[in-house]
Amino acid sequence: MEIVSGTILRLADDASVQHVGDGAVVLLARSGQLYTCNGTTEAFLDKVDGARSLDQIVGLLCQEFEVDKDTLDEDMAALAADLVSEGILAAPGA
Amino acid sequence: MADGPLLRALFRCHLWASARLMPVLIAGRSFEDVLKWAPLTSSTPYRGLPATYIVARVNRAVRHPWLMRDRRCLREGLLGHRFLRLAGFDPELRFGVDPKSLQTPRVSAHCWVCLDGRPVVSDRLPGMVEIYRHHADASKAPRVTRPSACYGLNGQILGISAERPELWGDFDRMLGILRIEGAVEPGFRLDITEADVLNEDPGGSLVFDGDIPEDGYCRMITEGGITHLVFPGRQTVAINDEGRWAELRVRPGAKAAWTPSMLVLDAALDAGGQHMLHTAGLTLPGHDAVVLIHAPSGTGKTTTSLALATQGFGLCSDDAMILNVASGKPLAWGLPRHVKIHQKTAEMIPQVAPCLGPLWDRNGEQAVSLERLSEIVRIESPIARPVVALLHLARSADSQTRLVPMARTDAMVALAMDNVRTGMTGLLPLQKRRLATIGRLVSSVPTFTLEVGARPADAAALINATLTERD
Repeated sequence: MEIVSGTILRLADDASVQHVGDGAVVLLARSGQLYTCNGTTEAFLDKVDGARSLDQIVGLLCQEFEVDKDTLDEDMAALAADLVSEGILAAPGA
Repeated sequence: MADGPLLRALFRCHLWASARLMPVLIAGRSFEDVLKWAPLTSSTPYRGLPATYIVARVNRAVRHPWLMRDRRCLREGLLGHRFLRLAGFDPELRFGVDPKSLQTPRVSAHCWVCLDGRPVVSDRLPGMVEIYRHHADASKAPRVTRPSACYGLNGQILGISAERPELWGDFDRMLGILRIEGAVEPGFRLDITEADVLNEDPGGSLVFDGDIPEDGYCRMITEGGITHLVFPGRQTVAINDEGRWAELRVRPGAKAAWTPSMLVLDAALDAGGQHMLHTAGLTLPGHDAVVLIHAPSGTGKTTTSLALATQGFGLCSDDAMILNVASGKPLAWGLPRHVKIHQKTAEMIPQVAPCLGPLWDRNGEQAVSLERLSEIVRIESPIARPVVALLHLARSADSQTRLVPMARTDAMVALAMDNVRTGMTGLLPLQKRRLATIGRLVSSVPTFTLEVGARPADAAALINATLTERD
């Protein structure tokens, strides 16, 4: 799946995110796989709702973390690609 | 006729025909005539069929209504009541209305069937006011009183009934000191019955199919709100989390599996907002606060727990703590069952020798009662206490004992891996709630890795100093 600025993503059906104060844990229920997330990934996952585009999410993260949008664009696209390849995120219709 | 394929085939035919004929036969009839489909007295040709089987079949029979589409609950209710009665049960058909609809041209009504006071077919809808119960007069209907026992689980009461008390022996061994005498209303009910024929093929989705350590092969199936666990030829259990009941069927003479009892206990605790976690729990010396120690089996929880207990800590449990995070501050209490001491543990903690006998089982262990252990260490009563820390136990690489902070996310993963079970269809609702409970625990208390070296007792001073400083 190609990730571009207009890509809209959602949490996969079998993924649960559990916030634990300084990060989060994602459980993929079908495989039983558990992932730990740092604060940035947690913030990104919080904004993935099946309606916002990647560009809109990056905009929100820029406001939250006061970072340069160009840098974040690249990093978040790579993060989104990783999360999709792990099965944590999916396209809305998938 | 005893429960068997022929009786079940007859039952299914009768149910199928009734489900299809009923809409035609009750159309335009008065309420009184309609209720004749749910007779208060009848013969019992289907005696021996389990209530869960009957309920599941009734739900299936009315799944795709082609008549009475908008009165599904009535179809379910009449059929459920009728066939439960034909199997010798004593059901109630209850009717309710939505008070808000009384001022409208079309009153919103609903019905459901209860057995022993708990809903089994459909359920009361929110806001509904019960207006009528269709039930045989208790004074005329003969009732058989079965032996029963109740256990107080710190806010939840588990009620068990069976044909004879020996059938709940597993529960008594785990929960014996929590037994409540006298009349109490259980929050979760378990019914245990011996049956020559078990319902080993309930409809639904297969969630698990494989071997369980110690207990052997089993299948788990979910159907609507009911979870079935089937040990072929031995035992079945049906658990309804929302209905707060379970039915355990055991084949006379078959080796009883341990897992069904634990599953029922899990469900009863969950119904009261609590979850059992695979951790040890000890109170700090001179404090009422509990530290939880987690590690996969075989890492040394029992050895470390007993070593800490010899240093003034109070032992709640060496491997099963019940956690309640409802109030925001985690509380925990220990399952008051025996401690299994391994030969190697006995060598490392020689203080336990007076509690041990000469015989070891095939795993090189022996079970020691808490009462016996209380002769050498402090055993805490099973009351809920505040949790002050979660320690993840690991073996030290250089034989030194250390207590180092652990990232909450890592602590969450370690605890979830050992406590949350995933199935072929994803997380069951109870497991989702357990995951959330673990998340709240990890968010609320400091988390550490306890690396234990050659002398587990060294951990006592480290834990005490670290956690007392934080006070």
